[in-house]
Amino acid sequence: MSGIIFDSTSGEIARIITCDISSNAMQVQPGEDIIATEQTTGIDDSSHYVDVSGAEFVAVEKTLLDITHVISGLSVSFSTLPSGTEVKVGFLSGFSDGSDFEVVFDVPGSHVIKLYGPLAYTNTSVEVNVDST
Amino acid sequence: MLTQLNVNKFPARVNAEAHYLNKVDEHAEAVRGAFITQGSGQAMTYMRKSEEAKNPGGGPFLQAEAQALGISVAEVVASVTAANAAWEQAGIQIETARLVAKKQVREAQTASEMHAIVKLLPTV
Repeated sequence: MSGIIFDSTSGEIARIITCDISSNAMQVQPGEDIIATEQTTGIDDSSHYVDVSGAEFVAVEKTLLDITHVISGLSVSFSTLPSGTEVKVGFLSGFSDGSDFEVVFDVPGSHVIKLYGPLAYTNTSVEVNVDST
Repeated sequence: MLTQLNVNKFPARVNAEAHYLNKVDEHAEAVRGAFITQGSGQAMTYMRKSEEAKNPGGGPFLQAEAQALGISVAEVVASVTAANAAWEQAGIQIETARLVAKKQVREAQTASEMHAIVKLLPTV
Protein backbone atom coordinates (compact mmCIF):
# COMPACT_ATOMS: atom_id res chain seq x y z
CA MET A 1 0.00 0.00 0.00
CA SER A 2 1.26 3.44 -0.87
CA GLY A 3 0.36 6.83 0.43
CA ILE A 4 0.75 10.48 -0.50
CA ILE A 5 1.58 12.56 2.53
CA PHE A 6 0.86 16.25 2.13
CA ASP A 7 0.57 19.53 3.99
CA SER A 8 -3.03 19.52 5.19
CA THR A 9 -3.34 23.28 4.81
CA SER A 10 -1.69 23.95 1.45
CA GLY A 11 -1.92 20.55 -0.18
CA GLU A 12 1.78 20.49 -1.06
CA ILE A 13 3.05 16.94 -1.35
CA ALA A 14 5.70 16.22 1.26
CA ARG A 15 6.57 12.63 0.38
CA ILE A 16 5.31 9.41 -1.16
CA ILE A 17 5.53 6.32 1.00
CA THR A 18 5.10 2.62 0.43
CA CYS A 19 4.48 0.42 3.45
CA ASP A 20 1.72 -1.69 5.01
CA ILE A 21 -1.52 -0.01 5.98
CA SER A 22 -0.88 -0.16 9.70
CA SER A 23 2.35 1.78 9.28
CA ASN A 24 0.90 4.50 7.07
CA ALA A 25 -0.53 6.58 9.89
CA MET A 26 2.77 6.47 11.74
CA GLN A 27 4.45 8.34 8.86
CA VAL A 28 2.16 11.35 9.12
CA GLN A 29 3.54 14.31 11.06
CA PRO A 30 1.52 17.09 12.74
CA GLY A 31 0.09 19.43 10.09
CA GLU A 32 0.10 16.68 7.48
CA ASP A 33 -2.48 14.30 6.10
CA ILE A 34 -2.37 11.24 3.89
CA ILE A 35 -4.16 9.79 0.91
CA ALA A 36 -3.89 6.03 0.66
CA THR A 37 -3.47 4.94 -2.92
CA GLU A 38 -2.49 1.93 -4.98
CA GLN A 39 -0.77 3.91 -7.69
CA THR A 40 1.88 6.54 -7.11
CA THR A 41 3.85 6.19 -10.33
CA GLY A 42 4.33 9.58 -11.95
CA ILE A 43 3.15 11.44 -8.88
CA ASP A 44 5.55 13.73 -7.10
CA ASP A 45 5.65 17.22 -5.67
CA SER A 46 6.83 18.79 -8.94
CA SER A 47 3.95 17.46 -11.01
CA HIS A 48 1.08 17.11 -8.52
CA TYR A 49 -0.47 18.65 -5.47
CA VAL A 50 -3.38 17.63 -3.28
CA ASP A 51 -6.58 19.60 -3.59
CA VAL A 52 -7.65 20.22 -0.01
CA SER A 53 -10.55 22.54 -0.85
CA GLY A 54 -13.20 19.85 -1.14
CA ALA A 55 -14.63 17.32 1.27
CA GLU A 56 -12.34 14.66 -0.17
CA PHE A 57 -8.62 15.04 -0.69
CA VAL A 58 -7.59 14.41 -4.28
CA ALA A 59 -4.16 14.36 -5.93
CA VAL A 60 -4.33 16.71 -8.89
CA GLU A 61 -1.88 17.20 -11.73
CA LYS A 62 -0.39 20.71 -11.78
CA THR A 63 -1.29 23.07 -14.61
CA LEU A 64 1.46 24.16 -16.98
CA LEU A 65 2.37 27.77 -16.36
CA ASP A 66 1.52 29.99 -19.31
CA ILE A 67 4.81 31.74 -20.07
CA THR A 68 3.55 33.83 -22.97
CA HIS A 69 5.67 36.96 -23.04
CA VAL A 70 6.48 39.96 -25.19
CA ILE A 71 9.99 41.35 -25.55
CA SER A 72 10.26 45.04 -26.15
CA GLY A 73 13.74 46.54 -26.06
CA LEU A 74 15.20 45.50 -22.73
CA SER A 75 11.83 44.61 -21.18
CA VAL A 76 10.05 41.30 -21.02
CA SER A 77 6.33 41.46 -20.22
CA PHE A 78 4.22 38.61 -18.94
CA SER A 79 0.47 39.11 -18.88
CA THR A 80 -0.77 35.65 -17.97
CA LEU A 81 1.05 34.81 -14.76
CA PRO A 82 -1.28 33.74 -11.98
CA SER A 83 -1.17 35.70 -8.75
CA GLY A 84 1.58 34.48 -6.46
CA THR A 85 3.98 33.41 -9.19
CA GLU A 86 7.56 34.13 -8.17
CA VAL A 87 9.67 35.58 -10.98
CA LYS A 88 13.41 35.12 -10.45
CA VAL A 89 16.44 36.33 -12.34
CA GLY A 90 19.62 35.34 -10.59
CA PHE A 91 19.25 36.38 -6.97
CA LEU A 92 16.54 38.94 -7.70
CA SER A 93 12.89 38.04 -7.50
CA GLY A 94 9.40 39.48 -7.42
CA PHE A 95 5.88 38.15 -7.15
CA SER A 96 3.08 38.53 -9.64
CA ASP A 97 -0.18 39.91 -8.30
CA GLY A 98 -2.05 38.53 -11.29
CA SER A 99 -1.73 41.66 -13.38
CA ASP A 100 1.00 42.39 -15.93
CA PHE A 101 4.52 41.62 -14.80
CA GLU A 102 7.52 43.26 -16.44
CA VAL A 103 11.18 42.31 -16.12
CA VAL A 104 13.51 45.14 -17.12
CA PHE A 105 17.18 44.38 -17.83
CA ASP A 106 19.96 46.95 -17.98
CA VAL A 107 22.03 45.10 -20.55
CA PRO A 108 21.04 43.29 -23.74
CA GLY A 109 21.75 39.63 -24.23
CA SER A 110 20.44 36.26 -23.20
CA HIS A 111 18.85 35.99 -19.77
CA VAL A 112 17.09 33.15 -17.98
CA ILE A 113 13.90 34.00 -16.11
CA LYS A 114 12.75 31.34 -13.66
CA LEU A 115 9.06 31.15 -12.84
CA TYR A 116 7.81 29.44 -9.71
CA GLY A 117 4.08 29.11 -9.99
CA PRO A 118 1.62 28.83 -7.11
CA LEU A 119 1.07 25.29 -5.87
CA ALA A 120 -1.44 24.41 -8.60
CA TYR A 121 1.09 25.29 -11.32
CA THR A 122 4.36 23.80 -12.49
CA ASN A 123 7.66 25.63 -12.18
CA THR A 124 9.43 26.51 -15.37
CA SER A 125 11.97 28.86 -16.89
CA VAL A 126 12.25 30.85 -20.06
CA GLU A 127 15.36 32.09 -21.83
CA VAL A 128 14.95 35.50 -23.41
CA ASN A 129 17.20 37.46 -25.68
CA VAL A 130 16.77 41.16 -25.18
CA ASP A 131 18.47 43.83 -27.23
CA SER A 132 18.07 47.57 -27.34
CA THR A 133 19.48 47.94 -30.82
CA MET B 1 -1.40 47.53 -12.15
CA LEU B 2 2.02 46.64 -13.50
CA THR B 3 4.59 44.89 -11.34
CA GLN B 4 8.17 45.54 -12.35
CA LEU B 5 11.40 43.69 -11.58
CA ASN B 6 14.54 45.62 -12.46
CA VAL B 7 17.53 43.39 -13.13
CA ASN B 8 20.73 45.37 -13.04
CA LYS B 9 24.04 43.75 -13.80
CA PHE B 10 25.94 46.69 -12.37
CA PRO B 11 25.29 48.26 -8.96
CA ALA B 12 26.07 51.74 -10.31
CA ARG B 13 26.82 53.52 -13.57
CA VAL B 14 30.50 53.85 -12.66
CA ASN B 15 30.81 50.05 -12.44
CA ALA B 16 29.30 49.67 -15.88
CA GLU B 17 31.67 52.31 -17.26
CA ALA B 18 34.75 50.54 -15.88
CA HIS B 19 33.52 47.24 -17.28
CA TYR B 20 32.85 48.55 -20.77
CA LEU B 21 36.04 50.66 -20.96
CA ASN B 22 37.89 47.44 -20.31
CA LYS B 23 35.83 45.72 -22.99
CA VAL B 24 36.86 48.37 -25.51
CA ASP B 25 40.55 47.77 -24.73
CA GLU B 26 40.09 44.00 -24.96
CA HIS B 27 38.36 44.38 -28.30
CA ALA B 28 41.13 46.59 -29.71
CA GLU B 29 43.77 44.12 -28.60
CA ALA B 30 41.88 41.23 -30.17
CA VAL B 31 41.62 43.08 -33.48
CA ARG B 32 45.33 43.95 -33.38
CA GLY B 33 45.98 40.24 -32.99
CA ALA B 34 44.73 39.71 -36.53
CA PHE B 35 47.64 41.78 -37.85
CA ILE B 36 50.51 41.16 -35.46
CA THR B 37 51.79 38.55 -33.05
CA GLN B 38 51.06 39.82 -29.56
CA GLY B 39 53.54 40.13 -26.72
CA SER B 40 55.83 42.92 -25.51
CA GLY B 41 59.00 41.15 -26.67
CA GLN B 42 57.51 40.65 -30.12
CA ALA B 43 56.46 44.31 -30.22
CA MET B 44 60.07 45.37 -29.52
CA THR B 45 61.27 43.09 -32.30
CA TYR B 46 58.77 44.58 -34.75
CA MET B 47 59.89 48.10 -33.84
CA ARG B 48 63.56 47.21 -34.30
CA LYS B 49 62.92 45.57 -37.67
CA SER B 50 60.87 48.56 -38.74
CA GLU B 51 63.78 50.85 -37.90
CA GLU B 52 66.26 48.64 -39.73
CA ALA B 53 64.01 48.54 -42.82
CA LYS B 54 64.57 52.30 -43.29
CA ASN B 55 68.12 51.39 -44.32
CA PRO B 56 68.33 49.54 -47.70
CA GLY B 57 71.07 47.38 -46.22
CA GLY B 58 68.93 46.46 -43.25
CA GLY B 59 70.49 45.75 -39.90
CA PRO B 60 71.33 42.76 -37.71
CA PHE B 61 67.72 41.56 -37.38
CA LEU B 62 66.92 41.80 -41.08
CA GLN B 63 70.25 40.35 -42.16
CA ALA B 64 69.74 37.40 -39.83
CA GLU B 65 66.21 36.95 -41.17
CA ALA B 66 67.47 37.01 -44.76
CA GLN B 67 70.04 34.39 -43.94
CA ALA B 68 67.52 32.25 -42.07
CA LEU B 69 65.00 32.37 -44.90
CA GLY B 70 67.55 32.09 -47.71
CA ILE B 71 66.47 35.33 -49.38
CA SER B 72 68.17 38.65 -50.01
CA VAL B 73 68.27 41.46 -47.47
CA ALA B 74 66.51 43.66 -50.05
CA GLU B 75 63.59 41.21 -50.12
CA VAL B 76 63.36 41.19 -46.34
CA VAL B 77 63.47 44.99 -46.26
CA ALA B 78 60.66 45.16 -48.85
CA SER B 79 58.59 42.61 -46.91
CA VAL B 80 59.03 44.42 -43.59
CA THR B 81 58.29 47.79 -45.17
CA ALA B 82 55.07 46.49 -46.73
CA ALA B 83 53.97 44.77 -43.52
CA ASN B 84 54.78 47.89 -41.56
CA ALA B 85 52.70 50.05 -43.89
CA ALA B 86 49.74 47.68 -43.67
CA TRP B 87 50.01 47.54 -39.90
CA GLU B 88 50.28 51.31 -39.63
CA GLN B 89 47.05 51.79 -41.56
CA ALA B 90 45.20 49.16 -39.50
CA GLY B 91 46.75 50.31 -36.27
CA ILE B 92 45.58 53.87 -36.78
CA GLN B 93 42.02 52.69 -37.47
CA ILE B 94 42.02 50.42 -34.44
CA GLU B 95 43.39 53.12 -32.16
CA THR B 96 40.95 55.72 -33.47
CA ALA B 97 38.01 53.36 -32.97
CA ARG B 98 39.25 52.55 -29.46
CA LEU B 99 39.55 56.18 -28.44
CA VAL B 100 36.20 57.16 -29.91
CA ALA B 101 34.48 54.21 -28.24
CA LYS B 102 35.98 55.00 -24.85
CA LYS B 103 34.84 58.60 -25.15
CA GLN B 104 31.34 57.40 -26.03
CA VAL B 105 31.30 54.96 -23.11
CA ARG B 106 32.27 57.76 -20.72
CA GLU B 107 29.45 59.89 -22.08
CA ALA B 108 26.83 57.11 -22.09
CA GLN B 109 24.16 57.29 -19.41
CA THR B 110 23.22 53.64 -19.14
CA ALA B 111 24.85 50.23 -19.26
CA SER B 112 22.67 49.43 -22.23
CA GLU B 113 24.10 52.34 -24.21
CA MET B 114 27.62 51.27 -23.28
CA HIS B 115 26.89 47.73 -24.39
CA ALA B 116 25.64 49.00 -27.74
CA ILE B 117 28.85 51.03 -28.25
CA VAL B 118 31.04 48.00 -27.68
CA LYS B 119 28.82 45.83 -29.83
CA LEU B 120 29.21 48.23 -32.76
CA LEU B 121 33.02 48.29 -32.62
CA PRO B 122 34.45 47.36 -36.02
CA THR B 123 36.07 43.98 -36.43
CA VAL B 124 38.75 42.94 -38.91
